[in-house]
Amino acid sequence: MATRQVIGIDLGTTNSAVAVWREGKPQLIANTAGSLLTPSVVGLDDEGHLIIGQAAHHRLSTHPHLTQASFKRYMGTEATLSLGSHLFRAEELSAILLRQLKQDAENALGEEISDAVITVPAYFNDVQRRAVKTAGKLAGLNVLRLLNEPTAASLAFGLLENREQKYLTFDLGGGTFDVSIIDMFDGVVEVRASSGDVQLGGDDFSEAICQWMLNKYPALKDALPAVKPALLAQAENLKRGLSHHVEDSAELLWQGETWRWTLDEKQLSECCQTLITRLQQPVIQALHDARFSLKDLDHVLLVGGATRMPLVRQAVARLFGRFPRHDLHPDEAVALGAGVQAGMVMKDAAVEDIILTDVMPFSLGMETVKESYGQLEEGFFLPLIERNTWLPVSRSKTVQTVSDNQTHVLLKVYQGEGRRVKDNVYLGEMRIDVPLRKAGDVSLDVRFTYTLDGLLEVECQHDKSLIPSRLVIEKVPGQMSAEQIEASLHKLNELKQHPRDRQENQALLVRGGRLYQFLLGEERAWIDNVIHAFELALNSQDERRIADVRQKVVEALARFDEVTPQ
Amino acid sequence: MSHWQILDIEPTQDEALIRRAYSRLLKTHRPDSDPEGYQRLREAFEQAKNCAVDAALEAETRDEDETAGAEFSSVVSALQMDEWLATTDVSQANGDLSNYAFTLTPLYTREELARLAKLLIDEEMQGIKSLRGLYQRVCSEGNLLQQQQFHNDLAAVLAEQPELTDGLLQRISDELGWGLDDYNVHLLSERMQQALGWQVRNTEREQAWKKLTNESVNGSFMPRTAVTLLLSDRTEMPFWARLVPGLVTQMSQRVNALYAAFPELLERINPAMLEFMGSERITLSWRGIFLMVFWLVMFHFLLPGALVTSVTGWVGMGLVLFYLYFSDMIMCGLQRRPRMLEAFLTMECLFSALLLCLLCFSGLFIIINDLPGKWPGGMPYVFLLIIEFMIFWSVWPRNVVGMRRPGIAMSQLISTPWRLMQRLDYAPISWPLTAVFSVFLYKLLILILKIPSQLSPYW
Repeated sequence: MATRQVIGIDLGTTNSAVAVWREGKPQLIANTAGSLLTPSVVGLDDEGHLIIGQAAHHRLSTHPHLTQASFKRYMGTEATLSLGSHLFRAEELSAILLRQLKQDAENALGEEISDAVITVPAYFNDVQRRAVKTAGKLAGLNVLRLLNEPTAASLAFGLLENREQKYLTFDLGGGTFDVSIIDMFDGVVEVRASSGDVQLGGDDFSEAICQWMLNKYPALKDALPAVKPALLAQAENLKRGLSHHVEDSAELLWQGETWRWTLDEKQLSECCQTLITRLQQPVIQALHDARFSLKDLDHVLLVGGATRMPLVRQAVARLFGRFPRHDLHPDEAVALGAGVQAGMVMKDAAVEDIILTDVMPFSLGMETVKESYGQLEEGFFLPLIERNTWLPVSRSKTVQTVSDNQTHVLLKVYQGEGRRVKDNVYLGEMRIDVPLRKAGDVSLDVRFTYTLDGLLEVECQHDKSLIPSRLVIEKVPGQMSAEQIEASLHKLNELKQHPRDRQENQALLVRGGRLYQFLLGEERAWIDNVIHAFELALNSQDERRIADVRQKVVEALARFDEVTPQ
Repeated sequence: MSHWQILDIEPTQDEALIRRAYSRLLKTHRPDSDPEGYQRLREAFEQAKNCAVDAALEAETRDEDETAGAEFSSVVSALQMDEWLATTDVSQANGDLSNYAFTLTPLYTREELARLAKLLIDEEMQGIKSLRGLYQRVCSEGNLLQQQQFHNDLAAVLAEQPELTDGLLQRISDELGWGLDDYNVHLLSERMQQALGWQVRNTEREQAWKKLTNESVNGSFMPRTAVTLLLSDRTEMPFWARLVPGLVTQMSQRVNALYAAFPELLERINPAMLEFMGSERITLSWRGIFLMVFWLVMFHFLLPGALVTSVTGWVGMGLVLFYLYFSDMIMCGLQRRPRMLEAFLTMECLFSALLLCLLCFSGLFIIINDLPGKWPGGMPYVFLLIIEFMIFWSVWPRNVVGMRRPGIAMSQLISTPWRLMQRLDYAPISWPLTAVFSVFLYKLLILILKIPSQLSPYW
């Protein structure tokens, strides 16, 4: 299809990454700061310029009102997030991040990029997926395909071990949890079932630790919400520390007082007990939908940063009665998979033989009326496409009119599992005029077609007509309209972005500042001089001078690389 | 095209063959380039797999039917797990998890679950708390198989409790995430869901029955008598039951309510009573009593005072009784003799038609005769006549076999005062209105009954 280079993007809650298919394998692309992962954080500096990535991440605890992280959770909602006095939707923040990733990729590859494959949690519903597509559009990317994250990880894994196997992918990321059951044979990667929880991730574990910290010293509760970002940062550190040690301690300096906590494994498992229990439900549902039992699985694959926690690993081991595999790098697996998909989209010969089939994790249906005790009751959900049916799929059902002389039928489309439509997500509606007849005399054939790209097409025809009415659900509530997208594009273009060079410089400055805090005595004074010289060079705005001094700063910082905390 | 044809293989139970056929054809019908072809292929693939699975399952259940049919034993499930673990290679130990031991102790006993179920029924709050504790323990210590087993075990025990209500089941479902209201319940097997539903229905049925039997002890005279009769052992309906106005209606009301909700409860009711209520019956009701009194008063006390002989009074009463009761009784009695029944119906039809015509023409006669002379003082007459026509209009039956129409019209006519009260829902206002109406009726009847005397000069 596209002979232009296509990139695969993992748009994660905590970290994002970009990969391409090159020389027969997927490779991650480093950003301008040199690292493979870009934190999904967007912020504004004091002059109103955008800061994205690692530099913004450093500012999370110091300038919480000017920085936003984990906005992936708000995709598909109307929530507005604030950066200082500017308000943004989650799609806009994602677009800013995507734009940065796009530029980094263009820099690294030396060519223009306009096509991309973006990963989404398998359990994202239709509204949320459209939000991701909108974000891509706002960033100037043509989103060729939305790939489910656990499927992406499976693709990466499948390349590693291309043999017949059945496994379960357990993807616990920063903000979302996905479970997918994959059946691999003869070059076919078949997703049998998908399930998950879009409100469960590593961030929730940090939050649980934070609550535990607050309960230890209730006096701190009065200092909320000002102390929250700093507290969360400490909770995050504790969480990570416990991945390496049996116990870890943290301390917080707040308003002149020092508060100390010591957390060990047992206490961690107590305060996260409910979260661990929540992990089980999607697994059970996915196994049921795939009609697999535990015995059928060859292995369990762990993906996602939060699976580094020994607590999670132990829970998985206990649940499945076996040790999970983590052959893949938990942070990179999804991006690598996206790279593989990019290669497949480009019809690269090396991946021609792999065929990927995915499933629809939610049921799709319409609102109907049921008769009970002689009365008509509205609001019942009639599923047309059951969840975990393969994609693309087309199903139809026949319904009848309910009252005499009904003039039209209002076909409302919903996505979800609830028996009543009020528990499901509303997607759109269609109005069909019917001839006047007695109740039940006019029957309508309703056909739902769901494509690989995630577009739902509804076709309806009543038996007395010759032409069907067609509806393609383009817009759903919660999605941005065309005018809103236009307005957003203007807004984003107006916000001056730091020239990439200056972003790099900012990162260097921040690193230097932390090094200064860490060192003592002579070394400290020396670093101070180096930074000062750099700042003067930046103020001069002389590109050549800046480049020279930057080189020196990089060398200076490298000298302390082993000792600096990163 | 059958699914085997689409897959291009012979019907087989070998899943591997089916998969290979599918993957071979998948290369030419990719989902992104050939969506329709892919859908056809995939449907065929799934159907072929289902056939193979069903055949395998049948073979398996034939073997399994011999083993103990208890769908519930946590100990058994633990044993099964042990076997499986023994065959799986657990030696893929990771460094930091090598100390992790897979102990599989049974997490609960059958007695414990039974006790919990009883506690849930008797004391819901306590029960829910206990349940929560047990569930947490199962989740934190058990693996997936054990958890699944727990849900089904608990459902099995609950389904055995005779007082399981829908409310309790809902709350348990919310607590454990069963989602019984959802479209696709996956935590419990179909059989379990059915068992639970059946038990809840049982409880409701017993509650309804208890309510009914309670009425025979407590409650006012009418319901008490009605229910006692329904529950009694009599071989046939006592005659006095027919004479108590409204008794039989009450009985049939209750029977209908029971039948609508729990048809099987009808077996507990006295069959003789059921038979009686199912058949055509004649009973005394408030309507009958009222109308008899009304017309009695009209014919024997009011009218005679106004130039009407007692013979007319008796004739009138006779007609009333005929249309109220005798006609139905005769029809009931003649059920077995269709030809006599037909003869009777024809006679009744002609007779009623004759009466109606007489009444109608007498009205016209009054207009033609009296009005021109008494205009405009004859306004009241016009009023009376309008009322007469209104009455005729309201009593003419629709949706009835043609032959029965005159008869039914006559009986409707006679029961007009009662129907008026019924329309007004027996409200206090209905009494004076009926009284006013009766006065009009009285005047009208006098007019009509005077006609023969007016006619006599002509012959």
